[in-house]
Amino acid sequence: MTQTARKPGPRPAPVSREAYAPELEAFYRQFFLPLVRRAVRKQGLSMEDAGDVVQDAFILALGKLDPSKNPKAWLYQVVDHLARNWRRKDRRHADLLARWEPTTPDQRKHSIPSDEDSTHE
Amino acid sequence: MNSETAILVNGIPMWVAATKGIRLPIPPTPEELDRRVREVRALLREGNAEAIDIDAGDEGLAVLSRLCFALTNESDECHELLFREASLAYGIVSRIPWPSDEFGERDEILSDLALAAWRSARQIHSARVAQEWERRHQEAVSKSAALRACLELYMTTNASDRTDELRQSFFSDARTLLAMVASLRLRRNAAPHVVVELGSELFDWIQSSEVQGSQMEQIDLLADLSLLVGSSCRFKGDWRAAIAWLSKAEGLFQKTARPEAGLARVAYARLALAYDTHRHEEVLRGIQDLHSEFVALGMEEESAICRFVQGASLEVLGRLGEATEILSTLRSSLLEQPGHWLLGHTTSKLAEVLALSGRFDDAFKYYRQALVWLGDRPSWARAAFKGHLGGTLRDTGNFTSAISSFRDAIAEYSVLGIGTRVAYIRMLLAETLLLADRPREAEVEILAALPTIEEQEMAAEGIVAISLLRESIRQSCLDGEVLKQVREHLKEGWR
Repeated sequence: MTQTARKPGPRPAPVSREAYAPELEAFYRQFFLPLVRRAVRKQGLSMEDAGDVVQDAFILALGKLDPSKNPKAWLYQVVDHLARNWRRKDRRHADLLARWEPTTPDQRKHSIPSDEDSTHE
Repeated sequence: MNSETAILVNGIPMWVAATKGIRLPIPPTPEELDRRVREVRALLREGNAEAIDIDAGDEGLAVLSRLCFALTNESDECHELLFREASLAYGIVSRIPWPSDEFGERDEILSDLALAAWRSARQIHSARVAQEWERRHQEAVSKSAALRACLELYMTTNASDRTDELRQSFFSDARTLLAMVASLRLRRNAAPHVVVELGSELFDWIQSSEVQGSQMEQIDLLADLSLLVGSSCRFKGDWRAAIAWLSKAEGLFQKTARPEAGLARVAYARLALAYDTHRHEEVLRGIQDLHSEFVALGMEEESAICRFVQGASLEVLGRLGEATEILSTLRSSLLEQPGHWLLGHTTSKLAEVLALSGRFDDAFKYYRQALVWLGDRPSWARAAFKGHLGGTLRDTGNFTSAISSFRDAIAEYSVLGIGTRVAYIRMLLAETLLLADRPREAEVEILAALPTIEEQEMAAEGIVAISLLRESIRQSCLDGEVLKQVREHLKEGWR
């Protein structure tokens, strides 16, 4: 995302982690964790993956969140959307692994994809 | 923007800057979380809820969140086990103390668990049990700030911007979709036009897309939606659309696993439609059996509504003694459930019946009680109350108050988008204005009502009566008798 694409909204300021420790702790408990758990509840992600999703949502919020238009509802929507995409990617990855990762050495020998297969994939 | 939202908006830049480049470890680990959820589920399946040690701390909430996902996404599971797990988990979450709940997690978790229990209950349990879980789900949805915010965002989006893509982004999760249906159901009396618009839109979209969940669940959902839209069309006075939606609902309910409750609800909606269109003998022929059916199904609310409609039909047929008895008995039973939405409406109807019997003192006493129970917000029941009261005030010769009450009824029905009722009350108001010797104002009301009246299908005599009325207004000599005739035809003609 380029700077010119950004709408007016909250912008990151340089901060020292130590100086803001109590505020960060409060923010973590009050907002970050509940959104993480929302992604777990909606899409069954692990806590860490859900944490990445919420972090991405906050980064998006820096440029796109309009404080005058129900910011919480906006965040719910973005977290839901990103979590859904994450789960979809995760499933695709698992499908591919199941397809190409044989369980026995013998199967492995026969299942190495050819160049042609890779192209199709 | 409230203070919490301001803290959130202002805190995001600080958070992003401070955590840049860091992947935060957020316990519990996937393995630990899986293990805890497996343990909890095993105990729930055994029915051993007391052995579950969980609180609303970070770890407990993580486990509950993961449990919600598991229970709402396992459509192939045995319904008996799923019901047991979800209902016991609901009980645990209802009981545990909760810290401050900025994101409304408690209600959202309760909503997920009630939904999981309801989905299973409607496949295997009686209508009474299924209805109880439907009610709990509805209650949790109405309390959940997070769900309300999401649904509100969708509802306030312009109709032209509500594209399939937007619907996909909101409702691909069946839980949000079912929350939307629950939310529409709660608005049925207060905003029937909104329910018709959004409900029919969702119906079309569900039919043409792949919503998460089993095919059986999709049919359940479509059946519920068609009944909801059909009932709301009836509230709006759009009777032809109501008939079509109710037929659709009937066909869909017949394909569900437990069709009895749904089909009985459709049968009720049809009798209510018969009442609205003044086919009172038909109502009385069917209502007793339907009441018995609801009692047998354990659907108390619906059986109470049957009694109300029975009393109201008896009133219109002039059988005032029987109407008084039925409505008084119903009112007494509703008094045992303070806050029941039907209490105010029943008391108002009873007051009207007593007034027609000449018992004006009792009538006004009940009107006063009804007003308190009906609350402050516009609703179908409150608008009807103003109409009843206006009629009684007119019959006691209190024209000024009657006119004011009819005007209030018109305002409330207008807010609700019920055009046919607005037109009908305008005619009652016009008659009262004539009695009060205010013919010019009466003409204004009639001219405002005529377009709606003419849109309706009326018998030939009705059309003649309208022409006569129009002519009498044109000649500035409004004829009260013609006005009365038109109103009578409205009753007969709006079918």
